[in-house]
Amino acid sequence: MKRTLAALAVAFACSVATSPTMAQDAAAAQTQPAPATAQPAPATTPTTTSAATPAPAATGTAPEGLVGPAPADKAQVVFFRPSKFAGGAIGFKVREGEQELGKLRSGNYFIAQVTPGKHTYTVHSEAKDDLNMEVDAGETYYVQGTISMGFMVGHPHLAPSDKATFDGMSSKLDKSN
Amino acid sequence: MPGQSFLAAGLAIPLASNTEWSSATLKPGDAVAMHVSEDVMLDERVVIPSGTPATGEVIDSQSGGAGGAPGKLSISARTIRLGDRVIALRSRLSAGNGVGKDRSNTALAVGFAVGVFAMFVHGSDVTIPSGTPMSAKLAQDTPFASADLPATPQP
Repeated sequence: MKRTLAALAVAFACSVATSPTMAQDAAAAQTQPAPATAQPAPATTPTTTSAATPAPAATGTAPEGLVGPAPADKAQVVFFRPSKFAGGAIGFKVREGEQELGKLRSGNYFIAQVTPGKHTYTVHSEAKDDLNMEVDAGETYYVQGTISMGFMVGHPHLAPSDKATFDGMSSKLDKSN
Repeated sequence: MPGQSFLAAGLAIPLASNTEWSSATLKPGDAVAMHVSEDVMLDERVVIPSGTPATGEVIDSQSGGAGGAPGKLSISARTIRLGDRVIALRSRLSAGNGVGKDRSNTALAVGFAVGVFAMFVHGSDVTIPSGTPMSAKLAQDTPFASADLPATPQP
């Protein structure tokens, strides 16, 4: 009985708090500046040598912040979940097929190194959400987990995100165990 | 490689969408049309002219659901078609034209609240207008024989 009441309380908290919170996320994301890491040279720059080449990375291979560079032969996917009161007591597992990649609680993140190509990541409680991605070797991708209101418990979601969003909240994130 | 110049793998190619893309109408597996949005130059000559057709593929497309579930739209770059020649692109399609600023970590994959593309989320669907600038990287070194390089028209 206590568990049922607790679940109802969580669902109610989600229903009154999730939408405005997510709207704040969207507004914040719109104002985020573009990431400022190294970039290949512009394609339209005339070249005077025999090859147009990307500019070398300015940061070398030293890890930046919480996320280091992806291995040359793998892609890495950073799954993170903002620290929020709504649905904060609910954790959810991120899976690919039957394989559990990690668990996301409020204010957590984890990094999965995966083979290049197409992947489908899944989270579920009483409802299921899939995220399909295609990833390249040597690249880092960001996926944000959120909770929206459900009938009895919150519904977890996975959505593609970006480095700027992750960096903006990285000081409040802890690595999942 | 005497007599041959090449665009190096990883070079950002500026692209733009030909039509509006919406999670309400696109399905995974659909092909989407793009074009090269600025001349790509090599040895002071245009090797891939602006307007050259390019293609992408829809990887994920979901309309938003009840309870605030976000809409999703993920599109991967595929190829540039230069006459009879097909030039491979890495799958990552990035926001912006890739020139001047690094946006390489903002993939063209849009959820509820995603970077510069959050502005394209209308209601529960994701809509990306026609002409939206983006970029993709060359998948491999792409040679051009010197004799094949067309002269760049002078203004």
